Formats: sequence, structure tokens, C-alpha cells
Amino acid sequence: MSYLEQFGLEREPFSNAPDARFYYDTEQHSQALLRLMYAIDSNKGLAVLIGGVGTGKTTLARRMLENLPEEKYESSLLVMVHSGITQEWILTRIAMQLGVEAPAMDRLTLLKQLYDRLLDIEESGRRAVVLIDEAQMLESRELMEEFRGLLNLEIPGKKLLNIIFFGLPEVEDCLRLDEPLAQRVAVKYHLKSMPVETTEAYIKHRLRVAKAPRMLFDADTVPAIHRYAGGVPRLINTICDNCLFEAYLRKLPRVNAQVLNSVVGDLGLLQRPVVEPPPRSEADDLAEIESMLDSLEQK
Amino acid sequence: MSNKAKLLASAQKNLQKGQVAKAIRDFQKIVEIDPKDIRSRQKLAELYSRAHQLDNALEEYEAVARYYSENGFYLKAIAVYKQMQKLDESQVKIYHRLAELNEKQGLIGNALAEYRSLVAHYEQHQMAAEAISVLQKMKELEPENLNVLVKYAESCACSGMRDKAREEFQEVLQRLLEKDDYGKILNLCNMFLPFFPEDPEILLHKGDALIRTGQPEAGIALLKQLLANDSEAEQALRCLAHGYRVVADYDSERLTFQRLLDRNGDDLDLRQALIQACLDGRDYERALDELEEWKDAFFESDRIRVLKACYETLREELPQNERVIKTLHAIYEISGDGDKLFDLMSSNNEPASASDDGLVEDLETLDDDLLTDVVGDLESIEDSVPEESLREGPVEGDEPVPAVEENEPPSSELPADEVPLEFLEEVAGSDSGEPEPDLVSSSVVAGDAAAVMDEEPGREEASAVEVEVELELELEFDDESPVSETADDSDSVSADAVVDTATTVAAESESTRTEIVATSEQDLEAVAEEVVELEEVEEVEEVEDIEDIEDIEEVEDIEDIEDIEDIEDIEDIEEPAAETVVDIPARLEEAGFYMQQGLFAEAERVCREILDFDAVCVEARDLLAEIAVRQGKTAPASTRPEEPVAESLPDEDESAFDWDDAFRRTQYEGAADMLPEDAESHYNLGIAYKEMGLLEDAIKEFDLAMNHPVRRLDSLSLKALCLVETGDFDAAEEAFRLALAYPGICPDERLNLTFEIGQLKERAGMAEEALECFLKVAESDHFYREVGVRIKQLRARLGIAENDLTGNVGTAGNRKKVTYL
Ligand SMILES: Nc1ncnc2c1ncn2[C@@H]1O[C@H](COP(=O)(O)OP(=O)(O)O)[C@@H](O)[C@H]1O
Ligand SMILES: [Mg+2]
Repeated sequence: MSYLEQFGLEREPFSNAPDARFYYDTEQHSQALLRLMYAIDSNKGLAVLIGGVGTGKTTLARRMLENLPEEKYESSLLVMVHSGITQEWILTRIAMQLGVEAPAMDRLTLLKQLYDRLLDIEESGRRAVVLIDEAQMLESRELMEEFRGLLNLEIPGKKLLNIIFFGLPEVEDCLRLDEPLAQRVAVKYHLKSMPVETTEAYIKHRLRVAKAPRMLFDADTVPAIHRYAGGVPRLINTICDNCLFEAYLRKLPRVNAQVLNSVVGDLGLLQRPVVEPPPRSEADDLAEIESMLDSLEQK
Repeated sequence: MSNKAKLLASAQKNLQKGQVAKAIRDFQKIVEIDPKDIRSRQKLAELYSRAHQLDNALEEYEAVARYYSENGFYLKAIAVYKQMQKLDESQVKIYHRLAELNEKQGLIGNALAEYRSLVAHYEQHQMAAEAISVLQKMKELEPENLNVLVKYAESCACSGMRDKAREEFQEVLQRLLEKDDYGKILNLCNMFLPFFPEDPEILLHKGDALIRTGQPEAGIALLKQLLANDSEAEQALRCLAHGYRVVADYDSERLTFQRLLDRNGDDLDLRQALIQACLDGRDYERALDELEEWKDAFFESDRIRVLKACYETLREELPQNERVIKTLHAIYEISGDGDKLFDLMSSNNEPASASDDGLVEDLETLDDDLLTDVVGDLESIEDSVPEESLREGPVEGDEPVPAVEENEPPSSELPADEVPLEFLEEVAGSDSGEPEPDLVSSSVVAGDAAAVMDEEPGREEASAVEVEVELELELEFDDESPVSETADDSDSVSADAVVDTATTVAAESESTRTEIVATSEQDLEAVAEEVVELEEVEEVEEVEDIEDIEDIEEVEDIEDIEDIEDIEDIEDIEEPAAETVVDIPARLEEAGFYMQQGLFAEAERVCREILDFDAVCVEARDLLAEIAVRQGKTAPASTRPEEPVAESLPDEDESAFDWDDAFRRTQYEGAADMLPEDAESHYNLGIAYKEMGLLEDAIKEFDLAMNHPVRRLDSLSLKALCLVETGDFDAAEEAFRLALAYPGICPDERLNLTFEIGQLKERAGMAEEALECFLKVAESDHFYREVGVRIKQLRARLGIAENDLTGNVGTAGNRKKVTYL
């Protein structure tokens, strides 16, 4: 990219492509990760991470996958791209991902194969984990029942499989398609948009990883970017990337308010209601803890 | 482009080329076009001053300053006037204006400082009246400032305004008396005696002050001189009696009280003091006679406690004396001291009953209610304050009197009346040093002796009188060489003493410093014993022997430290760490707490303890520096532990009237309770000075402003920046670090200060330390004030490779594990 040189950058700082090097451990992301890891390590069965578009769910799913060393976990990430897939299909893919070598066509045999495989994994002292990204696409009762069935694979006193759903808030609707499954959710975390200080730190972090020699945004642009992006990382990336490009075109040493204005105008963000997302309240946390406790009690 | 803009541009260009004269012409035109353009006027003034056109500069500045003050920008006006003052220090008008403006801003200390300079100026030019009127203003501005008052009074005296001077003197004296500050009273009297040489009041206070500040013999001499003119001066007699007490010359003390009593025989306080003098002077028979005569009166005025203590002392000293036993018996009966009564009866084959004694009869006839009162009193007081009553002398603020060891054998071989004779000599105005036998029969002593004879002349007493006369004669002859003997004695005393008293006795009126390293309670007792020994030695000697008396004084000082716990505290300070491990973080926290509470002495003590344990503890050093600043010391406190005892001893400097110091004192004295508005004013003035390039003045203001938390951090930072500008990097860094150590500092401020230190280090050529600071900043915010760039440059300069952010990359290789459905 041409602006890299102008700003003394080694790589694009605000690409939306997943790149582990750019991972920034915000308070929220680290909290989420902590809880999800807890769910797995204590064999909770089912955990859910929900969040709006671009808040970093996929980033977290990948981060998590990387955090699960093979010697301890048999892990796999399934990314849903189509809705309307069948029970058999998903069962087969899960079986294959977990290492069932020749999955049978017949459902019962396949389940048996999967069970045996899970026992193998268990005997090798490891833990089976399946992460499912874009889980809001699993919008059928059958699929939900299938997952409940998978979660039922257990030896006395021990679950053999852990599943984590990553998805938009609609995931909750999907879960409600099978009430018993909904009640099985042991850990649920809701990713919200970032507060303004985190946005600033996030931008600086990405610039730093890209080897920016100095801050490329005027101080007053950062809170504005935060507002236009609603604190959502993906949007922040988009705005910042466009700003840098625009500044480069204008031969400016750094992004200023004019540049930002023109960019958000082009992106059609000016019309967005520029309301600050409500700050994460203690009540939210409490509600979450409560629901978690509820679901624990139900077991 | 407007004409003015063109001129400005031209001026700019000319300045860049260093052509000041041309730039001046440009600005002159600008000011002509737009006379209200204050900035340009100020610039013009600056240029005039650069071109050494003093008068023009002053004129232009004056216009600017007037504009500012007329429009209420007093701080800016002050800064401009200050600039003018720098240019021409002789302009009286500027000082006046500065003082007024500072006063308007509530910056009293600054106003005083200006006036003070004025006073100096007027004095230098022998303009006494002007100086006095300025002093008058200063007095109005800060009536509490004693230094100003004294200076005012002195100036009045100097210029012959005797009444005014006397009046002011009186006011200062009164204030000092309220504070019991005798060191200063002495100085005050010395200061004013040249103007009022024969003033009996000044002389009296001087004498009293001498006695109370460790020069009792000089005080006594002075008071005697005073009494020579007016032998009836009651106050002088009282002070004199106190003086004798201080030098442990109890016989003279007694005689002095006797003189007071001659005129006011019913004053029981005086009587009590006289009896005490008899007891302390071991003149027990006389004490007994007095007591027997006055015991009824004492009883009636609720002094049974006193009586009891006196009689108990007498019982120790005169074990066989029946009068003592009888009265004591009666006292115990009344006070209900059954045990003691029993002891008394069993240890003596005493008379079966004391009822034939007049006292008891008297007592038995006393009103019942009164009796119960007395007894009740006794019971309540008895245990709590046993000995104290005896020391209630008629002169207030008596120093504690060395306790006479109770089991000390009576020293009947001592010439009890030797000193009084000498005293009489002087009072009588006789210069003759020759002993005159018939002196014994003259006035006071004669009366005294007669009184003794009148009552119960026991055998011992009669012989004692003979011995007295003999010894006295001997001593008069021995006069030539008394010193060597004494010196030996005192030498041996200090050598043997467990208590190490290091003393420096200055030749004349210099004060004495005593350092005591007492190691235990027993040692104190040992000291008490030494006192007694010394007293005995002293009693053989001439009273006038100054050195001896001073020795005694010192030992008395030791006794003055009545509270043993104090001594133990001191020990704690003396050897704190060594064996015990100091929990440094906890102690630091403690020190921090003290700081917050404004208990600087405590905080300092803790810091020093920490440093004793860990001499390089940075936090403790920083705290100490901060304490110094907060206490208004300019230099950081030394880390050497101070002598704890030295602080409690009178310090010569403390008692001086330091006029030159008055300014600084007034500024800092109020610092502890500085109002936020004042801090704000100082702070803003500091900024105004800084903008004008008056860095030193700015620093002074910031120093003041930082005394209140509202502007503490800002002031420290700005002070540091001023110091950087002056090139004093060390002091600047210290100020920054003080700010960093300020409790409750927010992360942004921390970042800023750390960055500033880095910058300063870079300027000072310490690249590595600078890099360290910058890295610290980058840790929190890589782009803070482009710290990343600074780091990069420094690294390049130092040849240090950049470290990469690789830690963030996950284990990867999990791609195969991702499927898309
Ligand atoms: N913690 C994070 N650190 C770095 N980048 C992040 C982080 N969270 C989100 N992003 C960036 O934001 C963009 C959107 O994140 P993504 O995980 O795809 O969101 P979602 O899956 O919730 O829609 C991605 O480009 C990602 O790089
Ligand atoms: Mg996603």
C-alpha cells in the first residue's frame, strides 16, 4: 500500500483481516477469554459468547483456538457460512474435526464412532472442544437438538465434549428453540463495544504493531472516531484505515478533524446516531452472573 | 496587508537578523498607530531594554504596567513592575507600587518584602522618617510580625521618638512574656537599653531574662544593682529570689523573701517560699521555727499538704525533734494517714498524746465542715501530686528545683550566712571586700539572727553561728585561689559520671549547649546525685564564680527533663535500626500518612529511621526533600540524624530578632495554613513572572504556591521547568520527582512528569537515563508526545537494537482446525 511509506509503516495497521499480531488484550476481551477457558477447563459443556457485528467474536474464537495446545485439547473451530445445513452434515463435520477418520453415513454408527473417539481423547488425558463461530446461523430446532445430543455424550460424572457458540445476539433465539439446551448454557459472556479510552489505546496499539514512528491521529480525532465507530473495533479499523489513506492523498503528516469528517461522510457514518453506547454497568455484570448461577443450579 | 501587519512582519524580520534598532523603529510605529496594543508596547519595552535604552524601556513598561493594573490584571502588572525594578533598583516608586499591588492580591509576604527593601533603601540614604513610615505600613500589614514590630520600635528610638519607641517596646515585651520567650526578651532589652539606659523596667526584665536563660549570676548582679537604687522594688526582689533559687543559693533566697515579707508578712505564698528556701538551704531549725509559727495560718488556708511535706522532710532531717513529731502527729491525725501515724508512734518513744500542743487544739476547734474539706482534699490530691506543692513559689514559671536528697546528712559545717553578707555588702553599696565582723549585726541578718535567738536557741544553733563567722573569714582569705579546686572537683565528677555530659562553657555570655546521652533511668538518678554533690561543692565556693555555676546549671538542665519517657524516645532515635529489621514499605506508608496529616516532624523521624536502615532508600530521601519543601526550608534536609536533645535546648539563633529574616519568615510562617486563594495568586504570579523571563522570581512564587494542595503539582512542575530553563537540571529533576511522589497523582500527570524528566535528561546529555524514562512512558502510551520517535532516535544514538512485538503472535498452525460450513 502506498501510504505505508508516507507514514513510515511496516504493515497496514487497520486491516480487518484476522492477524494475531494485532490482537489487543482489552479488558473485555480478556475477561471473555478467561470465562470461556474456565468453562472448558471445568468441563461445563456449553458456553456462549455473544456480541454485535465487528465486536471481536471471531478474533476471540481464533485467539482461543490458539490458546488451546494440542497436547491438552482436541480442539476445532467450525465457522458457519450458510444457514440451512442439516443435522447429519454438522455431525459428520464435527466428527471429522475431532478425528473420526471414516465417518459412517448412518447416524447411529456415526454417533458411536464419535463416542469412541471422545473416549479415546478422554483416555489420552485431553479435552475435546468445538468452537462454533457465527452460531446464529444454526437457526433450526433440529440442529439445536443435535447439539443437546452431543452434549449428552458422557461417561458417568464427566462430559466428553465442550461446545462454545460465538455469535450475534440472535444466538439466544436459536438456543431457545430447544429449551433444555438453553438451560445448559453454563457460561455466557456478552461482548459490548469498547469505551473511549480503550479505543484510543486500541488505535495506538495497532499503530505501534505496524511500527508507526509517531501518533498519526490528531488528539481530537480519536474521541470522534470512537463516536462514529460506536466503539466497535471493526468500524474503528475501517474509519482509521480510510483516514490514513485520505491523509496520505492530502499529503498531510497526520489525520486531522477535516480528514476524519470527509471519511465518515463518505462512509455514510455521519447520519448514524452519534450516541455514546451506554457504559457497561454493574447491573449488566450482575445479571450475567445471575444467569450463570441459575444455569449452574439447574444441573 | 494592513500597515500594522506589515510593520509587524518587518519587525519580525529585523529581529531575526538581529537588528534591534530597526525592530525598535518598527514597534515604535506600531505603538503610534495602535497605542492600545499592549503586547507591542511590552515588546517595545523589551527591545529598549535590550538596546540599553533604560529610560525608554522604563517609560514603556510603566505604560504597560499601568494599563494592566487599571484593568485589574494585577498579577501581570506586578510582573511588569518587577521587570522594571530589575532595570532600575533605585526607583522608590516601583517598590511602593509593587507593595500596593501585592497587597491588593493578598500577597502579604511579597508586599512586606517590597517594603523591606524600601526600608533598607531609606536607611541607606539616612531617610529615617521615610523608613519609619514604611515600617508603620508593614506593621499594619502584619501586626503579628514581631520582627517588624521590633524594627519599628528600634527605628523610632533611633530617630529620637522616645515615647513611641517605649510604647512599641512595651508591646513587644508583652507578647514575648505571653510566649515565655526569655531569650528574645533578653535580646529585646539589650537592644533598647542603649536608648533607655537607666530604665528600671527594662533592667528588671533583662535581669529576669538573664536568670531564665542560663546566666543567673549576671541576672542577679543586675537586679542587685537595680535594688541599690530602689531597695523596695518588689518585682525585682521576686526575680532576685528566683535567681538565687536557680543558682541554688537558698540562703540568699531566703533573705530576699524575708525582705519581701518584712513589708507583707501575711503573704503565705511568700512565707511558703521562704520556708522552702530554708529547707533547701538545710536550715532546718529556722524552717521549723517558721513552720511552727505559721502552721495555723497554713492550715486555715488549706495548705495542709504543704505542711505535711515540710514536716516530713524535717522529720527526716531532725529525727529527734519533738516539735516536728508533735505537729506531724497532729497532721496525720487530721489527714487520716493511719499507717504513717502508726509508724510515727512506734518508731519513736514519742509523747503519748499531742493534745497539749497548741496546734491540735486549734485544729480540734476548727469547723467540722472545714475539716472534712481538708481531709477530702488531701485524699484526692495525695497520691497524684505528692511533692509538687512545695515548689509553688511566689514567682511564676519557676524552673523545677533540684530535689534535695532526703537521706543526705545535714551539712552543718557549711557557712550558712556567708552569701547574705556579701549580698548585704552590695546592697549597701559598699565596695569594700574586707570582711567586717560587725556586719553580722547589720540589718537583715541581725534581724534574722535576733529572730532565731528569740525563739528556741538550741545548742547546735548557737555553735552554728560561731562556725559561720569563722568559716566566712577563712573563705574570704581563700578567695584568691578557689578555682583550681573546683575545677578538679567538677572534673572528677564528670569523669565518674555514668551520664556523659559534654559541655562547652563559653567565656562570657555565650550560651551553653548540653548534649545528653542518657542510657537509663538509673542514670538520671545518678545525675540527680551529681547535682547534689555539685551543690555542695558550689556552696563552698564564691557565688560569683561563673564557670562553676554554669556547670551546675547544666546538670540542672538534665534534671529539667523530668519525663523519663522522653529520654527513652530519644534512645529510640539514637539507635533505631541495626538489630531490628525495618519494614520499609510499612514505614514509608507511615511516613506518608504523617505527611498527609501535616506532621512533618514525625514523617521526618520515620524517614530518617528508614535511612538509618537503608541509606539509599530513594523514597525516603524523596519524602525528606518534600518535607523540607513543605516546611519551607530551601535546601533539602540533610540526611544526617539530628541531635535529638539539641532541639529541646534553647538555640541562640532562635531568640535573635532577625530583621533581614523577617521577610522570609513571614512568607513561610504562614505557609502551612496557606489559603487556596493565596496559593492561586502565587501560582498565577509565578506564571506571569515566568512569561516575562523572571525565572527566579517565578520559582519563588511557585515555591509558595505549592504549600497548598490546589496548586502543588502544577507549581512543582512549573518550578521544575523554570529550573530547566536556568540550566539547573539537578534541581529541576528533584522538583519533578517530588511531584511524582505526590500522593494521588493521576496516570496522565505521571506520564507527563516522567516524560519531562526524560527530556531533561536528554538535554543534560544523559541519553541512557533519558531512554529509560521514555521507555517508561511508552509502556503506558507509545505515542505520548511522540515518545516513540524519541526512543527510536535515542536507540539509534546509543546503538541499541529495537525490540520487536513478537509476543503477541499466537501459536498459529491451527489453520487445519478451522472448517467452514
Ligand atoms: N481485541 C482485538 N484486538 C485487535 N483487533 C481486534 C480486536 N477485536 C476486534 N478486532 C478487530 O476488529 C475487527 C472485527 O473483529 P471480528 O472478530 O471479526 O468481529 P466479529 O467477529 O465480532 O464480527 C477485526 O478486524 C479485528 O482485527
Ligand atoms: Mg465474526
